[in-house]
Amino acid sequence: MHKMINYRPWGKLEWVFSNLPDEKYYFVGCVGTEDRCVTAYEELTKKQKVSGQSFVEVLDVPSDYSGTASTKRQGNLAKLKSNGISEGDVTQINLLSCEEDIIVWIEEFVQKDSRLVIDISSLPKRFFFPAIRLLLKQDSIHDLLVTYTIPMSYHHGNIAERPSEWRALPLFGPETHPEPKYEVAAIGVGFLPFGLPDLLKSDFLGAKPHLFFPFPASPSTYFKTWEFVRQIESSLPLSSDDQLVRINGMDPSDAFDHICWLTEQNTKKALFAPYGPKPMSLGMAIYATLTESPVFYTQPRVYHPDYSIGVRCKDGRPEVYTYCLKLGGRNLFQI
Amino acid sequence: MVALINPFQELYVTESYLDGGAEKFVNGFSPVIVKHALSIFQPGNVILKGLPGSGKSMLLNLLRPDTRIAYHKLGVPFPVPATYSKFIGAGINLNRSVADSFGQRPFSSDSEINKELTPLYFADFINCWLVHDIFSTVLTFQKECSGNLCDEIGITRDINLVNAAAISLSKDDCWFGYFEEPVASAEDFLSRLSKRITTYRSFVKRNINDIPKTIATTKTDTGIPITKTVQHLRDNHAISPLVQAYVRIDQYEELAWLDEVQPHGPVFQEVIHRFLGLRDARVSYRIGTRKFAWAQTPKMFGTSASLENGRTHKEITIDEVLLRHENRKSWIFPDFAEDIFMRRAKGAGYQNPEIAKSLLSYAFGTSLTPEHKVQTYVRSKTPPDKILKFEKDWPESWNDYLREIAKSDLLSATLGSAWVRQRGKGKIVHENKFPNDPPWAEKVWWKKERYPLTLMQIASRNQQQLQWSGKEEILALSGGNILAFLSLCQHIWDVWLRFMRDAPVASANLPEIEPSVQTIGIQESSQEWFEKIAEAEHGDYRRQRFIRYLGELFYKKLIDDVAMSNPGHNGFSVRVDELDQHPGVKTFLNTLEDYGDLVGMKHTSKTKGEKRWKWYLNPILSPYFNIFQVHTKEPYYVYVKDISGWMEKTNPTLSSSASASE
Repeated sequence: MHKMINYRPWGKLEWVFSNLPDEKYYFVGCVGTEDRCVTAYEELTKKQKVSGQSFVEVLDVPSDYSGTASTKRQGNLAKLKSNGISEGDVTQINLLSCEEDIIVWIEEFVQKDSRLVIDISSLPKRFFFPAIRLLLKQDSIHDLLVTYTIPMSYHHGNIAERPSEWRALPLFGPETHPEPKYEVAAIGVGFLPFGLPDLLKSDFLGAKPHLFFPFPASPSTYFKTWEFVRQIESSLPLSSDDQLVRINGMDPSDAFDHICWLTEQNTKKALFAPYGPKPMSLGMAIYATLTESPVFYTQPRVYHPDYSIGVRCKDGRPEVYTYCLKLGGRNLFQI
Repeated sequence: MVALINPFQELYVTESYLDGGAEKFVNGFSPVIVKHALSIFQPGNVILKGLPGSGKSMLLNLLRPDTRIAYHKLGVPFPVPATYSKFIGAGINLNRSVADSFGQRPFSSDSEINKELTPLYFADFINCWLVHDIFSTVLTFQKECSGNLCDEIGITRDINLVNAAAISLSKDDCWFGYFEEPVASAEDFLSRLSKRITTYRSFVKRNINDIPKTIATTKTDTGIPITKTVQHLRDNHAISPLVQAYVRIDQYEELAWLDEVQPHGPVFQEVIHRFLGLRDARVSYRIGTRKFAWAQTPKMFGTSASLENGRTHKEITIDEVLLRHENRKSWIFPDFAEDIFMRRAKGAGYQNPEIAKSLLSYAFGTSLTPEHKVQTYVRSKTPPDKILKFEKDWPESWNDYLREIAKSDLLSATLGSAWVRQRGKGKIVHENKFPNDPPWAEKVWWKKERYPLTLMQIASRNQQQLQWSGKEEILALSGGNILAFLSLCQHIWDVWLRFMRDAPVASANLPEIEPSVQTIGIQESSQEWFEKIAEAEHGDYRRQRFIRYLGELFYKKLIDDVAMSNPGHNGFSVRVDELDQHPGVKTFLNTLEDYGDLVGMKHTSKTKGEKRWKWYLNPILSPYFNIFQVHTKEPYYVYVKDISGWMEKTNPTLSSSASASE
């Protein structure tokens, strides 16, 4: 018996939606400081694809940037309001708020519709990881789509500051005791390792690190990602070729499949450190949800208000990607 | 052809006990430090304080059963003296175990009830985890090694005795009837404890809706099941009465950060204090922490009593053990570093020359004398006027005198140009005749105290970086921190390998590395250390901005001090009573010290009876700022308002919140 080929549609927002049934979706997004937090919602409202919406305004820890960050969030909120959202659609939650606050927000929108789009462009990992987990586990959701907008550019200086301690992302802690022996540590290569090199010494429990290097990297990010690898290597030399793998940074399906291959379909237990691009991290979130694998991160306390600037356009259209996770009640990602 | 590798590529071999096996630990661990921290292997609670990288984890890893077994299997004598080695170790990492995630999900919808329940469940979880770990340790020793090690420690070879201990423990009142269904064996007991632990974690992860009644009604008292475990193991002869149980609690300090994400962090710390407050001779706790993460009088949960150093526990500060004090002979860090260097070089396959008494001296040589350093900063063709900086009103005869001295001794001439600028010394420039031996030549201490500053000014006037090399300077830049030492060696070796890439390599003899190569490696290491202030775990740009400001301030003050009146202004000092009145500033300075950005120490004031405290940059940052690391003469005397001003300039938000707390 042949294993069914699992086609997971993803691509430009216009293309994906033009090939899906003409339905409306409940939209979940973030009121952030980045210009791109508005784009996916704008595009979908133009297409009259939105049945309702819930946004979270994520408040940083007070810092020298607080004033600028607040102004930028207000600006984006005004843009979203001009597209139809109201004050009641926005919930304010502190970036480092108790997990319970985040979960309560997620559980509120999980029940809203059987079709849902979540825009992860500006959602911090502390928020979008538990959201993906709960949405994947929610049987009442038949169609689950994720959008991600490419920015025009990233801030040249420090994009994030003051990392917290190494801890599991909400709902992604280890569960069974004693824990299985982890053989694979999948690390998404990003801009800043934030203490990860030091943590590799003891917190990876003997698992072999595999760096997922986003490829092709854009010239603006190339230096930062290789510097990330250099810093990891200074603490833990990479000894074999398969410890540095190129993954399409925009394709969660590619990341997911590679993890399946590395773990021999969950025969080897894995843990995750998602420091790479969000779509790559999405692939990790899906795999970790399906296998109850732990995911760890050193959450920054402060993001630069100009973390990213603008929205990249191609052929006159903003570059927004859409990924299908569930269609017609079927989870397209399975082990 | 021999492949050359960097023996220091992996910085943490004595901390990555699970990465690549405990074998690396055995080969990399230096026993030199053990005799200076013997309290860890003696009964009684111990708080081991130290900077990140000071070696706390390395020492505490000796308590782990897998480390002990690795020594046994490799036939390497265990580095703890036999008198103190009859112990079993167990432990919990509060972060990795998920204990610190309690409170992320409420146990009750009623906030007051939740406030009461959360620390009780937290304590119960730790009890279960530690009881499981103690039993696992005993079983691991039985399974993993021949009876010799069990006999050496005092653990029975008979599994039936361990089963009997588990069965009798399960019937103990301390469980409040949780093991109602009889326990059949130790394995059965452990699997039921694991089930309880998993249930808690499932609740935190929201895979179950409630804590089951079987657990909710059998919450155990803080620490009691742990002492009972040791008692039942002894009573059933599973372990000898002489065997001590040492329990590590890792990531204690992280609880202090929890209040950012949930409200229970301080209460959880009080629960941990309660474990220590039991003062039960059967179990001793070990906590590794940063210096200021441990309160002076830690409160205990559920009581108004506090822990007290010397009564409930003993505090050891590892940095003080390893830092250099007045008497160099009592400084143990050089032997510690030497031993680790030898182990790393040997482990990487380098042949150590038998003639060398000190491999560190062999590889890095001795540090350059001030006279030699001058030669590296100034070439003979450099005109002396560029270095000496004459004053406009100095007669040409005096300038010629200094120029003449400079021909043979530029260091002395530069010192002379400072000497005459000092109070009461300036008249000499107007004399008709100058002595053959300049007056400062016989001022041995005056010169010695100013050599570092003189060299810095000479290098700066000729647009040169300071040179760093040799065993003594590498040890001094390490500041008693073994991670800093390894980082310096790592970068020096990296640079040396880059230089050697085209050279034919005939053997793997330990290299003798050129001072110029060492300088580049040291500068790279220093830069990385500076970057880590912001980018490492708990990194903080606010701390980095402040350190940058301070480093640049010291540089400017030292370079501008042409009279060399203040050769100690690479540090600052403040009155203790004034600082005590400004807790916001004090906390910030403590934080900088806690992460090793600054080094703080008592300061004997020039004003009699005045209590002061002084701070210097971590020595490894000195090359980055191009300032010397030697502490000489008086530091820069400042008031708290000066420090507040520096904070304001570098971190306005932080500064205002510090002011608000005052």
